[in-house]
Amino acid sequence: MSKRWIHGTFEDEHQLLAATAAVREQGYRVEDIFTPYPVHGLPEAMGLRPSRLGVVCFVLGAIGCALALAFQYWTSATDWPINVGGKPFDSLPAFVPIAFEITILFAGLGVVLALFLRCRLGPGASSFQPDPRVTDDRFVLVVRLEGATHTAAECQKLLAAHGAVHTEDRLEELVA
Amino acid sequence: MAGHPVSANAAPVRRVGALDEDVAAPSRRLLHVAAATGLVLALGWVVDRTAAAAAVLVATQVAVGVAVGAAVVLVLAYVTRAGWLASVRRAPEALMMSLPVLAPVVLVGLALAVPLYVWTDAHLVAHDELLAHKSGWLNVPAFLLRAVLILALWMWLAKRLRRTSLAQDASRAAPDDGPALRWSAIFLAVLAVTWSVATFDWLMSLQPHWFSTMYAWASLAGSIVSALAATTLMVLFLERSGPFRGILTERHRHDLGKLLFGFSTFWAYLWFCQYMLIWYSHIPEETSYYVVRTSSTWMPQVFACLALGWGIPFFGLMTRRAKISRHRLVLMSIALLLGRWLDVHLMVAPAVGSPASILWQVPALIGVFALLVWASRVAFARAPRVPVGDPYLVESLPPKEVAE
Repeated sequence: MSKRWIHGTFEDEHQLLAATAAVREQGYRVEDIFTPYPVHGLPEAMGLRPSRLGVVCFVLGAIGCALALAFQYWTSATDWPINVGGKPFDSLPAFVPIAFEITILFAGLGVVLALFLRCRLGPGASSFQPDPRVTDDRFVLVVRLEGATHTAAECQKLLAAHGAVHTEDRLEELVA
Repeated sequence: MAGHPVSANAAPVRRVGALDEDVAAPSRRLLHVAAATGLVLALGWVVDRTAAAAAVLVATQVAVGVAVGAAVVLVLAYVTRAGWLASVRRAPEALMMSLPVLAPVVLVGLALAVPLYVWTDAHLVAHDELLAHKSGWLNVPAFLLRAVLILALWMWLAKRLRRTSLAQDASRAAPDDGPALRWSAIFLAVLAVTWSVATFDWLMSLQPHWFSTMYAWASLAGSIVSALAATTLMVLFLERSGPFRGILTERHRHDLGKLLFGFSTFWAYLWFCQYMLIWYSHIPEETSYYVVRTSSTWMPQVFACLALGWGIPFFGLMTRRAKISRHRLVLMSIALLLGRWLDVHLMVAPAVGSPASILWQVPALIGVFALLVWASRVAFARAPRVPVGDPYLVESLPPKEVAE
């Protein structure tokens, strides 16, 4: 089965938002949207699920915190106890700054790595750009055509009706 | 989004303000409550002078922190050109405008508390080299004079900021935030100095042998948290009672939730910074402060303060769903306000050596906050519910209000 996409190029973010809502209402699937900057309200209009990166962040932070506390306890109270100003070897306040830093390190780096893995980003990753102007002043809405319910012409007409300055019918091109 | 919305947008936005049904001024019941608590505290003054004065000092300090913190929230939004706050800006603005009512009460609180400061004891000062050395700064006339000057300065700046905001409403010219930006910058510069002097004088000098350079920082962070909590409660109340219905959006709640989460963590960070450095270096003149507070009398309250001011809100506001939940925001705001009160209470009560009686603390808190709420509601009722001349208003309103 061949894959088919319709690209609609917009010049205005408000038209883009309206078009996104309209194509979804008509039962089309929005494959992706290319914008030069984050557009407020677009994730909601696209119907994207809330990101689960927060959960990853929390779990990794908790692991970092636990590891840092355990390691400090082991070094200063078990493996090589050193008397610092007569304080107990297992002094929690002294462990807090390092536990705090390691929590942030794990959570921060972990969430970036998780994002890269999830989006398959990294050295050698291929990228797709429907039009170089999406890095400047154009917005491109990519609609996936599925089955026989909609024709390419209908979709193009719908996009044009919402202010698309240019529409294009593409086959087998977008690398998912 | 466009940084400067075009003036064509101004017309529909003005209509949002014009739709204004009259926001009812609050009834006088709050003033009656304040008067009644005043009578209870007068009785307290006769029965147990120290405990009553300490209770009034704590309550007035917490309240003035809310009002000044609200001004900080407001001016930070101006100087960072934070468009999101614009449509609900009148709430922190109204809290700030409780200052003219609170300032005299704060001054009375300080005057009543004068005997609590050991450096006012001439006999003691004569036999204490350190206090004698500090008496050039720490003496009653200078203390009261500084208090009057600082409170007057804050009041004047609050009124300036309010006037700028109202002038924006009335202006028919192109929206301009220049004057607001200018006065905000002046306010921040003035506050950096005056807040430090004020907290050193009013709270830290209760233990005049002890000092900490973190003190003003930590208490400013605490007052900003309390102001954010009060702002959150106020906007949710105004949404429920009418004026902010359809104005307050989920995005506002999410942003306020984020700020509560962030600033409570900031406060905990500074609290711990002060504690840990003193704990680590273990110098007697510094540890004296925490030796008292980690004794069995006060330790449970210190933990309660950290739990209310940080622990509970940290986990309670962590997820997005929690931050946009009205119910959760109300609960956490109340926890944070109680935590702030306990924080100030722990600065005062251990120092004056009185396990201050709840009998005077509760009326003091209710009375001062009744005044704060009353003054804020009066201020809110006196201006359009939405700042119609703000150039960033369109960014903050729900889309349908702008499109109409």
